[in-house]
Amino acid sequence: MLEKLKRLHFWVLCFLMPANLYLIFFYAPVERTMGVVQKVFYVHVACAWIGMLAFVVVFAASIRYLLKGDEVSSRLALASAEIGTVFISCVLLTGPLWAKPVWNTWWTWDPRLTTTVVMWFMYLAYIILQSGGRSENRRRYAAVYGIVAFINVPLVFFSARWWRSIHPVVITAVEFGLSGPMKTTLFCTLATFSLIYCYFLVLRYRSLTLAEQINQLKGAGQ
Amino acid sequence: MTEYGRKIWLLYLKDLRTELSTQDNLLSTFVFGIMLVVIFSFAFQLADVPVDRALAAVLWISVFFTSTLSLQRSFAIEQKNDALSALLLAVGDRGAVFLAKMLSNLTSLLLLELILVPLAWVLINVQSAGPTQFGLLIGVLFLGSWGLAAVGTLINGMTVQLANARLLFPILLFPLLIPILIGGVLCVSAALNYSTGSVKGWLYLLLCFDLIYTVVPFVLFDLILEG
Amino acid sequence: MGDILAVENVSKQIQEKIILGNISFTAVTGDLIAITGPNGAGKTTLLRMIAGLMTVTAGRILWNQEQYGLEHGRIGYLSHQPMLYDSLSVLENLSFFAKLYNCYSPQSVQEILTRVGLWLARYEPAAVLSRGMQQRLAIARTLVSTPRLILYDEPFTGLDREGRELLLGLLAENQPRTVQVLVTHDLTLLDGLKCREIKIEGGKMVEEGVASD
Repeated sequence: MLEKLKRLHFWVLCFLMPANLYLIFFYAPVERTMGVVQKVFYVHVACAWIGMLAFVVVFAASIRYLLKGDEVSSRLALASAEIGTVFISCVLLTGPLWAKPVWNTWWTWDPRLTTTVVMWFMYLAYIILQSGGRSENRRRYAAVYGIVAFINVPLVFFSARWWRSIHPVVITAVEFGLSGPMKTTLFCTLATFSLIYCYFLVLRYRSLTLAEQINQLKGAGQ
Repeated sequence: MTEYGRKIWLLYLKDLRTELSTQDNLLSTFVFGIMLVVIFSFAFQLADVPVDRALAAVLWISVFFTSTLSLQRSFAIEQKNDALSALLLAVGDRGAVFLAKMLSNLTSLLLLELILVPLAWVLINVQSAGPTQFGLLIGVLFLGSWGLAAVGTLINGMTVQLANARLLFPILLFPLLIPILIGGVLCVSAALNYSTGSVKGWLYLLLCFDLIYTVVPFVLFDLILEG
Repeated sequence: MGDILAVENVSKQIQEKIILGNISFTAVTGDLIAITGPNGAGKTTLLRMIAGLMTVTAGRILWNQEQYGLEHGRIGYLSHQPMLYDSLSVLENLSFFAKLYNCYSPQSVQEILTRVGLWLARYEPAAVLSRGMQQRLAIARTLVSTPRLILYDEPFTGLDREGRELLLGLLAENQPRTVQVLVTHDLTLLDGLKCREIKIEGGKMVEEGVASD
């Protein structure tokens, strides 16, 4: 049953991803002032959304792990953190690509950008913490870190925003109205990416489980 | 409650005592901090950046870097010989150990700043400052150090029991310190530019950070010092 | 007014690995339980769970019919590691723990230090003491709180002949007043002491011996 669901998931994605690209490049109109570079916006926003979602999953799974001490939550948290890192990296890559032609700068300390880069560091720290072996201590500490890091996100965001509101903002955020087809495209991209996230999560969770089983068998063989 | 406070106080005194009795550690930490301030100031001067503008940044970066040396000792002395087990049995509460460690770390950070701030003051040749500026400076240094001590104690409690503690510690610590960095640098800048109008909010934000990162680890510490 | 320590079906599982399974025994004041077994059998884990330093996965550990944790406050723990602060002096180490247990007085500290033969070395930092002397200081630390439950984890490690006799004397002397649990790989060290042996192998209790002399 689960195996079937997984296969279905895979084929749905095989259809959705090219369809989504079609939406982005042909269905959605070219933005008038920014031109074709605005296309990256859809992927950029979707990656950021997955980055946030993955972080929430890490947080929730960490709490569950501390309460119940079950392997499932711990592995889920790690899998989610790894995927989150990849997507946040994509955000940090696509961001400057968009910012350079539009804001005429690669990087600016906008609250969203600041928070994203801090999140990226916390994700990396979390993964490094877990990468030193999967001992029980490390899982527990990683869970604590997952919680503490999550609490830090709003603190970073609000301090960065507050700082911006006090100091004169050099670059004003570019506001553009999303036309109907643009909105549809954005929402479709968000949905597709969420499905990709789920697929990756299951896949990575399984590979972590298998890796641990192998380790155990190795340990038993000695 | 008084019993609880008494134990924290005893533990705090013990920590200060061990810190003072190993003077070479303390000394090298201070020397490192002083060197950082001097090197940063010099580098900014060389790059022709107005140093009085950069002072707040120099100060906080130096404190952050130096703290990785002093904070890491906090649980290392407990880890050696497994003194921690005897301590936990005597204290009977892991949260109390966290609070005491946080206080002793805060004290050593404030001692460090007592040396670094006048040094930086001299290096950038601050012209004059009124009591309000001094008050603000002391307030923000206290709140920032409190937050740093709280987060540092939490992270140190975790990393000390792991293999590659020295590498992990700063990597885990620094991303969590960004709110202190923003608030701290802005407030010190404000103190030096003699405008205290808009900084009240930042002090509240720092206080908020401190309280969150005191209460959450206090609760979670049971899970960290187990095993 | 004897105390009862009851270990009921205690198990410890770390990840999927079972460290200890279904350990049960009861001890009352006057008992000396010797836990023996090969290295890695889970002896220390059991001791740390009784101390409240580790949580149990299943089962219960009761002190006078009540579950307890770290806050027990009446547990002495003597390990093969000295559990001391290197940079503090002998006197400071002992006074610190005495104060934490709220039973500090200059006389009692002097008495105990004289007893373990460290009074003359009281101003030396613990780091410069020999291994055997550190262990004596650890004995002093264990006794300072007049515990009613004393746990020993390979306590003879590093002790010389004299130190061993001192510890054996203390074990015998404490017997009427305390519940004592001792982990050792070598039961012959306890010669002459009345004790009950519990043998653990691979996390399982393999036998509970009768009282032996």
